This record gives sequence, C-alpha cells and structure tokens, in this order.
Amino acid sequence: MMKSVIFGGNKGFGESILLQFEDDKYGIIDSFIDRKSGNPVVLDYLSSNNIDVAKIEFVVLTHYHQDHFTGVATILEKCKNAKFYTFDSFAIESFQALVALNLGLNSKHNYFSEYDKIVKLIKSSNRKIHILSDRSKPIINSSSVKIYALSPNDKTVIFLDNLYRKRFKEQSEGIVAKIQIGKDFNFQSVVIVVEINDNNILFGSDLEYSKSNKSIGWSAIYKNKKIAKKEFVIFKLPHHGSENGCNIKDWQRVIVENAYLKLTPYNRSKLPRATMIKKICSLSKNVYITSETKTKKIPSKFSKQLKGLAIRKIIDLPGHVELTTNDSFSKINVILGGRAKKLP
Amino acid sequence: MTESRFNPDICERKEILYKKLDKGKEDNIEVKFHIENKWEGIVLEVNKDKVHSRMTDALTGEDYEFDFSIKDVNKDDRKLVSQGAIFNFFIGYNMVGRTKSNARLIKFRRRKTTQNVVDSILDKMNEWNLKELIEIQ
Repeated sequence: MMKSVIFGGNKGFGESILLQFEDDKYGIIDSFIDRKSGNPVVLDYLSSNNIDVAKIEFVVLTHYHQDHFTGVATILEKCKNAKFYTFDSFAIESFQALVALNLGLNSKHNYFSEYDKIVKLIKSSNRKIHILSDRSKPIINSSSVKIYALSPNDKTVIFLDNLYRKRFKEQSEGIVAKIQIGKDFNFQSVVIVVEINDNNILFGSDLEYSKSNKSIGWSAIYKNKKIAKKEFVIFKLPHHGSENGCNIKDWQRVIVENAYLKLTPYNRSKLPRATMIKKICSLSKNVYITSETKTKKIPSKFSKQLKGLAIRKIIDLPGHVELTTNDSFSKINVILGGRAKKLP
Repeated sequence: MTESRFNPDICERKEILYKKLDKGKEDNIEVKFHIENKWEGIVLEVNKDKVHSRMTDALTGEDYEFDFSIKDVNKDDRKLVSQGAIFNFFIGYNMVGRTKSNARLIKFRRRKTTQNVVDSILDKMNEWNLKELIEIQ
C-alpha cells in the first residue's frame, strides 16, 4: 500500500506532501503553515489521524520559496527521527551570504529566518543536512520502494551560484530596503521519483523550463536516461500548473493514460490559469486541485479611506488530495479534503 | 488596476505649503496626519506602471493583496519601486485647522547602510559553520 497526501493552501501558501511508502514509514516533502492553527499543515494531519511523528523517516525541502518551507524547522523539531534532505546549493557560500544579508532586515515579510531556524535545529539535534542532486544516492532504497532525486544537476548549481552573487550585489548596493523573492529559485527544485513495485510517482516541485538554458530545469531532466522510459501513474504537476513548468509533449511521453495529476494553486501569479487547466485536463480524466483561488473584499472598517483602491483580503481555503494505491497500483482511491476538487 | 483619487505629489506640496504657513503661525493653520491603520507591504511584481503587492496589517496580521499604480507613489520614492521592495501603507486623515479629510500614503523603506553589514554576514556564516553539517547524499 502506498499513500500520498498533497496539501495546498489558498493564495500560494503553499504546498506540502506526506508520503506513506511502507505500512509504518512516512516522509514529508515541503511544508506550509495553517493560518488558523499556526502549525505546519502536515503535522495537524498526522495528529488528527493518530500517526506518530516518530514514523517520519525523512523531510525534504525542495527549494527556498516561502510557500514550500514555512514550518520545516518545526517539523524537524517534532520529527526527531527524520533525516533532513535539501537542494544542492543550499549550503554554498553565495546562498549563505544572500540569506545572511536578508536576515538583517527587520520586516514582517522577512521569511529568511526559517533558514536560520533549520540550521540551528539541525545542529542542536546532531543531525546532518543531506544534499540532493541528480547524482545522489536514493533517500529510500528498500526491496520494494526506491525514492530518489532527479535534480538539480551541476550546471544548475553553477547557474544558481551566479544568480545568488548577482542578487547579493544588487541588494547590498541598492538604496531600497528589499527582501529577495527569488523568482529564479524555482531552479533549485528537487524533483523526486517514487518507485514501488515497478510503478512510478513523480513529484515535480516548482521546477520550470529555462527559455535560455536547456541544460538546466525540466529540459535536463527529460534528457536523463533514468526517466526516459518511465511511465508515471501519479504526477504532482510542477510549479502550480504554470506554462513555464509545462511541456505537454514531455508529459505525454512519461505519464500513463489517465494518470492521476495533482495541482496546487499559487495565486500571486494567478496559477493555474484557465488555458493551462484546459491543456492539463486534455491529458487525463483524473486531474485534482487542492484548493481554490479566492480573495475577499476589504472589510468595511476602512472602506471609506480605501475606496477606489484595489485591495483584497487574502482568505485561506486550504485542502488536500489523498491518493491511496494497492501494491500493484491497479486500484487508486481518491479522498478530497477541504477545498480540494476534481477538475474541470 | 484602479487609479486612486489622490495625487501624492499634490498632497506633499500641500503639506509643505501648510507647514510654511504654520511656521508663521499667522493663520494658526496646522496640518496633522492622523494614522488610523498601517500595513507593511512587499512588491511582488512590477509590470510597466502597475505594481502588484502583498501587505500585512500591522495590528491584526491579516494579509492583503494590493494593486496600485506607480503614480500613487511620490516622485522621490518611485525609483525604489522594484520586486522585493518593502513599503508602508498608511491610511488616516489630515486635519487642516478644523477641516478633516481622508488621506493615505505609500512610503518605501530605504536600506540603512551600516559599516558592519559585512561583518554581521560573516559572523552569521561562521556561526552556521555549514561545512560541518553537510553530507553529500
């Protein structure tokens, strides 16, 4: 039996995955915080389903974006047996310097403190930071299950090192108080494959295609012989169904007919867009999204002062898509929680 | 994108004028901006003169999306509008003498440049000492 639960928050906050890869063994990929409880969504799920946190064997942080890392330190604190895995370039000096530079800015939007918390937590609990790349050993390699990374590759690390240096220079020499949003940080993304009894699942993180560099991003992955002949039964679509993360031809080549495709929204960029939903739904009858994208008008308290301005309150409408398969993947059971729904 | 009804440059010029008048104290005109609420925002995207941002209410911690025109920002601050820039958005009212009028202001934050920024970055990197923690999988 294999279970994957993907959680999505509204408005890009965020994406988290719980994997049950053996009866009593679990792993977590990325995290975001539930606004009501203040806890990582995945920990609330474990608690409400009476799953012991001691059963979490690994935690993967795929890339350094706010909708994927908030609460990772808390998860590591609670899940004391879990090994921590993350992207290659997490620890290179240019990224450390960029993080440290951002840490110095006092702002409610300064989310770089999570990096500091993660490092301190790893140190205090005598654990290691396991670096993942396309060359790394599998995270799990048992007789029936293999879980491993397909990215990033060496060329991506060089690309990112240059990017971090450029951002550091811009930011340190600029006059405006600025927090790195890290648009190109999506290329940090660790794409993960789960192989169970010859059936495959692909978790695409937020990886994109690079328009100018075919040796990084998805173009590099699809050249990889490891997945050339794979047929994925379940695919967590990359980057919230954006056009930058999509190539229908590549997808058709690697997924089975009517594969289970899962999406999370990211409304800062209004993702997924209607045109993409149409394309995605042309690939399969089994397309699911974790949550809706909605905003609310400003509350009446300040309506006079704010009249005429485009201000909308962000409301959280999280949900999750739970897929449970039997050993042969011949039967897949779908449970939708919260605002999750089937598309179209 | 909705164009706001206020012009920040005119507001600022008015304030300068009122302050000058106030200095003389001849007319006893005093301008005071009373803040009713404050948000802290971050610019997520700039597209020509349109700015897409996310803001957090300083009191309640609630999050908002705010789209505004670069023309809503006073001229001095316009060069600061870029992705990731931090700003404050204030709403309140101006009191000019006994006249009350609604007012709002977008103010971009400037980086405080201190000599020990580099030192603090190096200190932090030394504190992390990541070489000891890294294990190539």
